[in-house]
Amino acid sequence: MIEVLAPGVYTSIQDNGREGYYSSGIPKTGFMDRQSAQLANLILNNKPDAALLELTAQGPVLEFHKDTHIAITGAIVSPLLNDKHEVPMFKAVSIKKGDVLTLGFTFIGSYTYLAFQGGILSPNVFGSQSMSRSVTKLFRLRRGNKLNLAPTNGTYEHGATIKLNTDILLKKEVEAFAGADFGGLRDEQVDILFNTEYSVLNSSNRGAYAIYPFFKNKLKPISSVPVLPGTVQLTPSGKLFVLMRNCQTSGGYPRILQLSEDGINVLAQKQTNSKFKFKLIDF
Amino acid sequence: MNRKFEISFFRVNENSLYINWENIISSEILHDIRRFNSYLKKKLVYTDISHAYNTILIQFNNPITDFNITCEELKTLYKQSQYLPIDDESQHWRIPVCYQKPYAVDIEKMAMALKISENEIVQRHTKQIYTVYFIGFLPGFSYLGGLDQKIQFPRKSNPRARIRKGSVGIGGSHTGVYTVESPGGWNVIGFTPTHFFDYSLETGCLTKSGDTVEFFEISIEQLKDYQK
Repeated sequence: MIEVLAPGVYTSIQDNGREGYYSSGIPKTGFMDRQSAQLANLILNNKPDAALLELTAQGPVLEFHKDTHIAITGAIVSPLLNDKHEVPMFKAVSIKKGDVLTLGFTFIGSYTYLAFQGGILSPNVFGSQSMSRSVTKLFRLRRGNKLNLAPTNGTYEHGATIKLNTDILLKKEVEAFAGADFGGLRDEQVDILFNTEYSVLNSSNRGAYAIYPFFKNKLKPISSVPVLPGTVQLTPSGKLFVLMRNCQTSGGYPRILQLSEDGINVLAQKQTNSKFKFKLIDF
Repeated sequence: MNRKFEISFFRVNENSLYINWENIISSEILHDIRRFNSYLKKKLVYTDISHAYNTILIQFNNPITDFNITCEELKTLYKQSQYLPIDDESQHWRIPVCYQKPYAVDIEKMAMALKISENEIVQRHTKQIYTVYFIGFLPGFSYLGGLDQKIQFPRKSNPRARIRKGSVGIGGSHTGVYTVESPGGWNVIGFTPTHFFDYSLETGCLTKSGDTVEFFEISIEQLKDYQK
């Protein structure tokens, strides 16, 4: 068992998200940066979609009540074990009963992943363990929460060894396909869209990233259509919203772009004010 | 009344596509979409299928390898679906609503702007039978068609940060029930004790696309009984 001594700013249990409940209006949810999260699981020989902790800005402080192994990936943090030993990222680390792990602050990237050997055991709600506001009882961890780990056969087999790779954190290009309403843009608007350096506003969250600068717009709202993570919506006032993993299932703003899977992972890791450009890709 | 519709396909991302119907809101299109939708759910495994007024979204579990072949297969399934009945039977729901203050926070302002009485708003709101077009926006939230034109009212330009679960609202030509607490821009005219989104329900939702809903008025005292 693992005890949450301090929850951090926004730490939640996530897995690969929900499937089969989109028609009930239930968000997909799941790892914001799927690539980094799955990497953490692979390092520990877990299933890639095993439930782990996702944290942002400031991570939690955790006390372990059993021996286990952990792996930390994604946004760079400076984790400490028992307040003195630095914990390396991107590799399996052995943890002893009684150890206290302090994750610290994210300083490159936005979302850090902390995986545990075997994965977290928690209630499955509509096909997923991912915490989500209005859907699961808790949408983020609180102090005093206790996390159980799935039982393992006790022996630890070394998983993948990963070179420290910060490409996904530093990449400046966010890949996108033309969205369903892309055709409504004029040529000069298309030029602006792909030549502007955008940055993420601090009102961004797991549901949507608001980006800046705004965009001169003549496209009118449309009747509600299904939308999904990665859909880039353009509002009548010219605001651009990129829907992320926790987005609502339908929306009425024109869909000018649709991020690729890599695009979503890269954008997920952009901190407030960090710059990027959209790059148009084809199938 | 098997009207023929032209459908078109649009590839959304690596593993998803839209199927589009004519861009109008109509009960005939809803019927066609529901029939195809229920057939697709039987035929396609490991996918997430959802729809809105005139669009189906299919999210496959794996990347689409050949979009043209996928479209041809879906066209064949669409043709087959035309000869089938819809197998999920529509249900009718009678939903109790308390239209009194403090729940009906916006009804007074609406009545003044529309130059009708609050009572007329209630009468017109409870008179209609609404059709559930689809579920979206919030978990279990029903997009209802059929609002009386006389009580259509624009959304607030400044949405509220919090609208409580159970609030019944009007936004433009739509009416609906906030199924969970949420920010929102609709004008709140009442409150229902009925849970539209609940863990004990198999799909999480009380209603489904194609169901019908009517509202009936209850007093504050009756509301308290419902909440016991």
